[in-house]
Amino acid sequence: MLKYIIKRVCYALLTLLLLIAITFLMMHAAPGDPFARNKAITPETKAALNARYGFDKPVWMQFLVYVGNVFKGDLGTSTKYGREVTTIIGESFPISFELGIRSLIISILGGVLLGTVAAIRRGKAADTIAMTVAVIGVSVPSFIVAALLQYFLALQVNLKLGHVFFPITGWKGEMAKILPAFALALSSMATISRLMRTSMLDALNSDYIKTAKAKGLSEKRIIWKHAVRNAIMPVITVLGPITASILTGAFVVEQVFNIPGMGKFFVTSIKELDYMMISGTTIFYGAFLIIMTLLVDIAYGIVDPRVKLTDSKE
Amino acid sequence: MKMNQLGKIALSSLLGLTMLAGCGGSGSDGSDGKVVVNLASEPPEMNSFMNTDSTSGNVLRHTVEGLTTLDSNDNPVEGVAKSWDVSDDKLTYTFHLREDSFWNDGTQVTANDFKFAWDQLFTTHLGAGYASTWAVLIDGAEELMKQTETKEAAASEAAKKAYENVGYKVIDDFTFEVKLTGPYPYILGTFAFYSFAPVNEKFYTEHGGIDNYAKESADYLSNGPFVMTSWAHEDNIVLTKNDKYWNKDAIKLNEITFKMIENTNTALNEFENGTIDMIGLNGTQAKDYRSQGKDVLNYDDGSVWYMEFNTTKPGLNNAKVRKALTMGIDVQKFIDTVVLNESKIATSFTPPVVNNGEFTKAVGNVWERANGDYTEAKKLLEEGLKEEGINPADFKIELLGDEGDTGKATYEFVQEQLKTNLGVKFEVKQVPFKTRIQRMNDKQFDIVWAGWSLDYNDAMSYLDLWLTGGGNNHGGYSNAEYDKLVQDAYMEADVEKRTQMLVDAEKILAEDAAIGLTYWRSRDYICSDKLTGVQRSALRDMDLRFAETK
Repeated sequence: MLKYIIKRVCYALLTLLLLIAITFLMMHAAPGDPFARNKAITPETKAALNARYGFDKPVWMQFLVYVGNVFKGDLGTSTKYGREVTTIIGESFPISFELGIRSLIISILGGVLLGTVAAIRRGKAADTIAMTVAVIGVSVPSFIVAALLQYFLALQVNLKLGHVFFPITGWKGEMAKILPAFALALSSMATISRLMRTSMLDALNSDYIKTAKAKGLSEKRIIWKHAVRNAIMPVITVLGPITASILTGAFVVEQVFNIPGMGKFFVTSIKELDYMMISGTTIFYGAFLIIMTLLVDIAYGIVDPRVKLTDSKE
Repeated sequence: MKMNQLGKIALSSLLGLTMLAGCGGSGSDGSDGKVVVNLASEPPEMNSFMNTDSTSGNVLRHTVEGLTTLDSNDNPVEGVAKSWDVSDDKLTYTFHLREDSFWNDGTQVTANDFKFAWDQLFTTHLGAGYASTWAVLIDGAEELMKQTETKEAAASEAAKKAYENVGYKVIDDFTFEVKLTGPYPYILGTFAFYSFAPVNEKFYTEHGGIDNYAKESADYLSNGPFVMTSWAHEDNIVLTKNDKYWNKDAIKLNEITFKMIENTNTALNEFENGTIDMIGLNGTQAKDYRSQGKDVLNYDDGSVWYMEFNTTKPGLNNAKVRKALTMGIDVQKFIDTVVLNESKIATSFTPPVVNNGEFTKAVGNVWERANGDYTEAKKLLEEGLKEEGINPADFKIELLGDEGDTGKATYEFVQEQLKTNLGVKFEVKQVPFKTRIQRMNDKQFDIVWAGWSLDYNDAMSYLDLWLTGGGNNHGGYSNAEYDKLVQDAYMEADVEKRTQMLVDAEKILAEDAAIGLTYWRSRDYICSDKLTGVQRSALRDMDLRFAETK
C-alpha cells in the first residue's frame, strides 16, 4: 500500500508540473496586457510595471523562476491587487473550503437519504417527491437556487417576522452559512440521490439481501447494514468529481451571498489577465484536487476490501 | 459564458419579484452616526499616488486630504493648505499649510509629506498610472520621469538633480511651492485629486514601501476626516471619524462601513432588508423603483459615451461616413430601451458636469441628429463611400466590444439601428476587456464602443484626448487646426479666450465626426431614510464627508 501511495504521489507531482507548464504557457499566449486599462499609460510606465513584476524577462526564464518559487511556496504577487497570491489564497480558501465541506456533507447525507428512501418506497409518493427534488436540483443552476433562497428565506422571512434569521450576505455566524451551503449542495445532492436510488434498487434485488430476509433480519438492519453499504460504492466513486465541482463552482454562490471566498479570484483573474493569480489559483486548486482524488482512492480501498491498493499485474 | 447569460436572465426575473414585493428601505435605526454603504467591489489600490481606480478613489476621498479639497459644488477649497498665493503669471503657487493638520498617528502633516508623495508619483519605475497625465502640468516633472525609468537610473546623479530641480519645493515645514508649465485655471481642483495627496515618508518606509504600504489597514495612515480601522478584503472596510482631523467638527458621521457587494440584486436585498443605507441601482432596478413611485436619486457621472472610429480604415477615414453612422443611431431610443435612466443625449463631447454646465452652454448643440428621418444620413453615407471609391454593398464594419452581458444590449442596439436605418452591414465582436484594449492600441478594430470621464474640472480633461498621436486616441483622429486650438488653450492665461478656443475645438470635433457621439451618462442610487447629506458628482463619485444620520 505504501508503495502504491508513493507512486501515486510521484504521479501527482508530475501532473502538477504539467499543469503549471500548461497554465503558464496558455496564460502568456492570451492576447492582452495585464496592465492595460481604459486610460492609457505610457510605454515607460508599462515597462516599469513589467520590470517590477518580472514580466520583462523571456517567457522561459519567467517559467523557470516561477516553478522554483512555487516549490518554495511563493505564488507571486497579484497585478490587480498588489498583494501576495499566497496571502489572498490563505484568506479566501478557508472560507471556500468550509463552504465546500458543508455543501459536501449536505449533499452526501441528503443524497444518500433521498436515494435510499426513494428506492425503498419505489413507485410511491416518497419516491416521486425525492426524485422531483433530484430533477429540480440537477436542472436549476446553483446561482438561481441561491438567489431564490436569499430572496424568500432570508429577505422575506426577515421582513415578515421582523427578525433576522438568515443574514442576506456574509460568512459570520452559523445562520449565515446555511443557505449558501444548501444552494451549493443541491445539484450534487440531486446527482447523488439519483445514483443512490439506482444502486440501492440493484442491491435490494440481489441474492444476499434475499438471504438476509430469509434469515429473518429486521428490515432496518437489512437496509442500513447490508444494502446501503454496498449501494454506496458508486457514490464514493463520484465524490472526487463532485468535490471538484463544489469547490470550483462556488463562485456564483459566493457572489450571490457576498462571501469573501476564493471562487471570485479563480474566475475573474482570467478576465483581468492577472497572471500570478491565474496560475496561483489554478495550481492551488489543481494540487488540492489531485490530493482529494488520491484520498478518495484510498478511502475506496478501506470501504471495499476487495479493492487492492497495489499494482496488479493481471 | 452561456451559464452566465442564463443566470442574468433568471436574476432579472427574480428582480421583478423583488420589486413587486419590495418594501421601503429604512436603513438601520438610531442616530448613532454609523452608516453602511455599498462600494460594490474591493478597492484594488489604497496607496494614493499609485491609484487609478475610482472605487479606491471613493475610499481615499474620506481618508486622505491634499493641499485643497472639493466643496459641495466641486470647487476647490482649503484642505491641508489654509491659504495660497498665486504669482501674476499664474505659474507659481505658494501654499501655506495649516499647522493643525495631523496624521492619525499624531504626527504633523508637513510640506515634506507632499514632496515625498509627489516624488514617488513621478518616479517612473514605481509605475504610477497617473504620472504622465500630471507630469505635463508641473515644471520639471517630465524630466524627473525621464530620469527615473529604472531603479538604477533613479539612484543616479542625473536623477538626484531632477528630484532637486523639479518644480515643487519645500520652502519650510509649512510652505510648499509649486511651479507650473502653464497658467492652468483648473490646477487648484487638480491638487484635490488623490494622486497629489501627502504620504508620510517614515510610516511609508517602515511599513514596507511600495510593496506593502496601504495593503492592510495596519499599514495605512490617514490625514483625512476618517481613519481606516479595519479592512476585511473582499468583504468590507470600516472607517471611523478621525479625531485628529483639523475640521473634525464639520464631520457628523462616526463610522462608515463600505460593503463590497458586486451583485446588484444582492445589494438591493440588503437595502430592502434595512441592513445597508446606500446602494447604486442598475437601469432595470431604477426603472422599476421609479415606476413604483419610490425615490431614486441620480447624478451625472461625467462620462460621455461614443463610438470610436478607426479613422485609418477605408470608409471610416471619411467624415461624411462617420457623420452618417453617428446620425444613424436614435440616441433617445437607446437611452429609453437600454440605459433605462435619466441619461441625456450628448450635444457636445464635454458634458455639462464641467464648470457647472457653462462650457456646454457656450458650445451649444453642435452634433446633427437624424430625429427619425434618415434620408440625410443615407445620402451622406453614399457620398462618403463614393468619395473613397467603395461600393456601398461592400462596406462592412465590425464593432469591437467587451465580452459579457453588460455591453451586449448596447452593441446589439447599435447593430440593429445601423442595419435598419442605414442598411449598413454590421458585425459585433465581443472579446475580453484586456484584449479589447490591446486591439485598440494596435488599431485592430473598425469601431469600438467607448466612454471617457474627467480627471479634473475642465473641458481640457476631455478635449486633449483627440490630439494627434495621443495615447487614448486609438482611432488615429488627426486635425491640425484642432491640435493647434487645444495646444494654444493649454498655454492661454486669458480665461475667455481659452474657453473660445476649446469651444471652437468642440465644433471641429462635431464637423469631422471624429467620434460617433451618443450620450452623457447619469447614474442612479437610493439612500435609506436614516442617511442624509450624501453628495455625489462626477468628481466626487461618493462623498460622505458631510453626511449625517437621523
